[in-house]
Amino acid sequence: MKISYNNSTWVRIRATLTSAPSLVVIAILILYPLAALFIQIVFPHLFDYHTSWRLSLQPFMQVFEDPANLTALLNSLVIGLGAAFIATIIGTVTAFGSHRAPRTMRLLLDLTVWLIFFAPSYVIAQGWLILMQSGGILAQLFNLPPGWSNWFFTPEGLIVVMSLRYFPFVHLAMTQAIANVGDELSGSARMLGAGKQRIFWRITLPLLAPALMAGASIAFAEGFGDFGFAAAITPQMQIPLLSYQIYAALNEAPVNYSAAAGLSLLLVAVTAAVLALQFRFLKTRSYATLSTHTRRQTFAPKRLTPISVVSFVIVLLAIGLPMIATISASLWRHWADGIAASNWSVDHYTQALQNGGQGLQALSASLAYAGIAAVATMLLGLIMALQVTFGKSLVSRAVNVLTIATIAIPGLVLAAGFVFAWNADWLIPIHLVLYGTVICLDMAYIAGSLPYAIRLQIGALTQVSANLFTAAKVLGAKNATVIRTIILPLVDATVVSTFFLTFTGVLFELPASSLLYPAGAPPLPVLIAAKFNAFEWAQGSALTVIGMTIVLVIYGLGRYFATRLLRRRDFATSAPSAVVRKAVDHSGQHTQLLSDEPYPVQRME
Amino acid sequence: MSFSLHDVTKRYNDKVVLDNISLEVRQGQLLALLGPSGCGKTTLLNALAGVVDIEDGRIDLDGRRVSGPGFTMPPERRNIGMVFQDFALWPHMTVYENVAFGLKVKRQAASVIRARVKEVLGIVQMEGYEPLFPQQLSGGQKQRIAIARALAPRPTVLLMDEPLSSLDAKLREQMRWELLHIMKTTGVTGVYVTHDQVEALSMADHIVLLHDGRIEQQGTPTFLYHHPATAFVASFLGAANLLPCQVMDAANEYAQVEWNGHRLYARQGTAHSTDTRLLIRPSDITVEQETAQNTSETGARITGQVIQRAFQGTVWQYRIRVSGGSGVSGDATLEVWHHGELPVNATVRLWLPADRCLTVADSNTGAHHAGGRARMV
Repeated sequence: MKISYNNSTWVRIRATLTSAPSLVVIAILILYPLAALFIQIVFPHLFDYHTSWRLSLQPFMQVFEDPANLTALLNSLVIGLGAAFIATIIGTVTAFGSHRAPRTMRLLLDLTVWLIFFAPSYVIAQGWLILMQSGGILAQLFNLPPGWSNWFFTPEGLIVVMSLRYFPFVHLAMTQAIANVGDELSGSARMLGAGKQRIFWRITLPLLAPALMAGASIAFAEGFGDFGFAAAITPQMQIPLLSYQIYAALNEAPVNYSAAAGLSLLLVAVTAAVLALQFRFLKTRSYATLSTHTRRQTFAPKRLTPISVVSFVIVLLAIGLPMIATISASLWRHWADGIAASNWSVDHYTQALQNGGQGLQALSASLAYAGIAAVATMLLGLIMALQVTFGKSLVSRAVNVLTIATIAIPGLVLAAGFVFAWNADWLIPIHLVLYGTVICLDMAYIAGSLPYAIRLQIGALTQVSANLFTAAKVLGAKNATVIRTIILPLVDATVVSTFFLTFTGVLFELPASSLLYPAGAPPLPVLIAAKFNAFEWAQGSALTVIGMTIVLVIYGLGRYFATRLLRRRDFATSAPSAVVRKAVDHSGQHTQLLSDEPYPVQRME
Repeated sequence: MSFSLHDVTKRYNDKVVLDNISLEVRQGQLLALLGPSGCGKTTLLNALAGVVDIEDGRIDLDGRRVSGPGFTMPPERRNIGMVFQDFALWPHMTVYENVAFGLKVKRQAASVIRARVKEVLGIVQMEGYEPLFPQQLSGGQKQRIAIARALAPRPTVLLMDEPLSSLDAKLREQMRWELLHIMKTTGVTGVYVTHDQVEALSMADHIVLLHDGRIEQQGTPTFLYHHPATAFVASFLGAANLLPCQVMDAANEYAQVEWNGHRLYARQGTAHSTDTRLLIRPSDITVEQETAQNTSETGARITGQVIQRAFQGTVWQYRIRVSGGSGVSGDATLEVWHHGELPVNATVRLWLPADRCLTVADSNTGAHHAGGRARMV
């Protein structure tokens, strides 16, 4: 008779040892790079040519004495807040617009919002630049004089463009919340004599406050730490932003270690503070709108309502204009000849896809990097999620907390950490200086995607009733059998989604790519950014369109497979069909779910 | 196959959820673990299954120790079957795959598996459903498949965690009969967790009533119903008037008690002189005609007034206000079930036969009273 000891020290040691590899993975990929970055705030000469452990806060203080840094901080705050404010209004309008649209129109509207959601922000920023600059598409179409769009290249213009980029966060949160506010709540107010206006302001809107707060705070956090806009627009608009200052500090010679560390700390601190505020706000009040008695709203008009028309205009502005501009520019033989009839050609596409050409090399490299990162993230995410969900050791709990905490770390900060962590002197004797290698870049990609993947898969696992596992155990199945025959088939849609999520995310990932790509082998996002910075708009646009097409095809494939897996069984305990946002994890157990989409996506920067 | 528990104790942090539980289940017996939410019945079932560890005591399965302080035989080695409240059918497997799972894990030959699946599906009357997925079945069908899955590997003990609670009332009653039939047909030893006294009384050979992690009382259904040791047991096993009273005199098996100024007669139960309640079920009180003759039977007559009534189908449910007797000014209320229809405000004469009244200890848990009013359950 085999006895399983459950109370002895050995059992605890075994549980700890089993989950320790997860902690090691988190430590290598996230904790060590972050530590390497932030330790320089107190030991500024740690990564100097001659390593020194001399404690000093002076270089850190100097960061705040530099007017350029302060301007960047102020710009990021003002633009982030402004963009979040307008995004909140726009997102609320489009959410109600979607709610009040006929079914097919609603689907179309929501699909377009999704497109904006996962479009890389630097691609959108570049589209706006092509459209709005002097001699750009609008100027050519309407014969506008040079300087006509100077108003656009200001912080105010940037606020508008960024709000059009970040309103999907509010939209997605609000559409879900609006759907969850049951008919009975407004119905009971109506029976007591309340008019439509009163019901909206006194019943509906207060109930939507958590979604509004969630959407607004994530929009701010994303806008504040955005690198895509900063990378595309700062060189053109001369509006320094905090994230670009970090990038610049790491790219100047000599590298300004303290500035990179100090500014990164600021970025993380402000982001975390906003999200903590939102968390606190939600914790102090109850906004439960869903109960077992909730009747989902079934409002579905037959014709487009005015608010739906406005919503369509907004989404077309947000994605249609920049994408049309990018596609148009990619088809111009010469930028200077613009929209002239003789100037349309597919030369840049053939050039980009030319065998042995720069474009094809970058694309191939990115596809390979994305493939490796996606497979690794999917497997690591699943194993670690299993350990966090079923492990009872302190280490498992620590990994759980760490994956929640690190989900809010901006990609740029993590990438900056990698620069120091894997270029450190102490790694030389053990031949582990990975900086500048494909391994380092792929590790950064995995580090950026892993917390999402883990939270997503924990969400899927925790949605499955524990009795399903117990039922197998009492029938004699061992752990390995339970995982293989019960757990994996129940969460396979999420596992597949994690692969495609990481793959598409990495293909257009800019911060880590920019800071860590191997010399002479730039991945696709770096090449695109370089083309735009060199004013080779048409080539850059062609590469963008090719990349976006691949992403859309892969996204479609992923969605197809995930939906098929879900449909095959159509069971109630399905994988979490939702979008995960890195910023918030209200429950501490489950990742925040913003939508009922069967295939989750991670937004790209 | 029999099993026994000896002084089993389980704590979550500092809260004791199982407190020195000792019981024994014999081969082929169906034991019901009955109690309100949070009494520890599901924890006890999970301890039997091996998915919950125990801190103290021991659990023996056919004389072999399977759980004790510091060790637990894993569930997969206990040869038990389990039926869950939410059925826990694997949604990605067909009915056949669900039922065959336990046999496949035990590496049975394909022909043996096919035959056994057919056999157990026959027992639960679900032949022909093999290719369907759980989501294509109704609640009752899912429950049958869950039972078939648990029975397929021929478990020594079948554990059932509120298996009927997620079914509607009509289906629950039907499944109760069927489950009983299946248990008797297979002869498997069973442990049945429920908070529904009707299920426990109608199905179990032996009931263990749990309260706050302790065994309040255990015995056969009829014994527990007719000889509840405490007010809690009396109230949990059916509607009961639990009248706070004082024992005035006792002789042989009967006692004379005073309730609200009235002298009543009752069989002597487990009550002590203090904290005593007189138990009489609403159906045991007789509503008499004014002209009724005194009988030779021992008992008490009291007069009251109908203050509320509700038609329950087979009987009328009445709330009767009884004025205080000698030296007591307050009123008390009794619940009475009677076949005849009486108008509200009607004055009625009630007969409380002594052999239907029982003194029980006030466990100070379920029974409470205020202002001399009896508690009606």
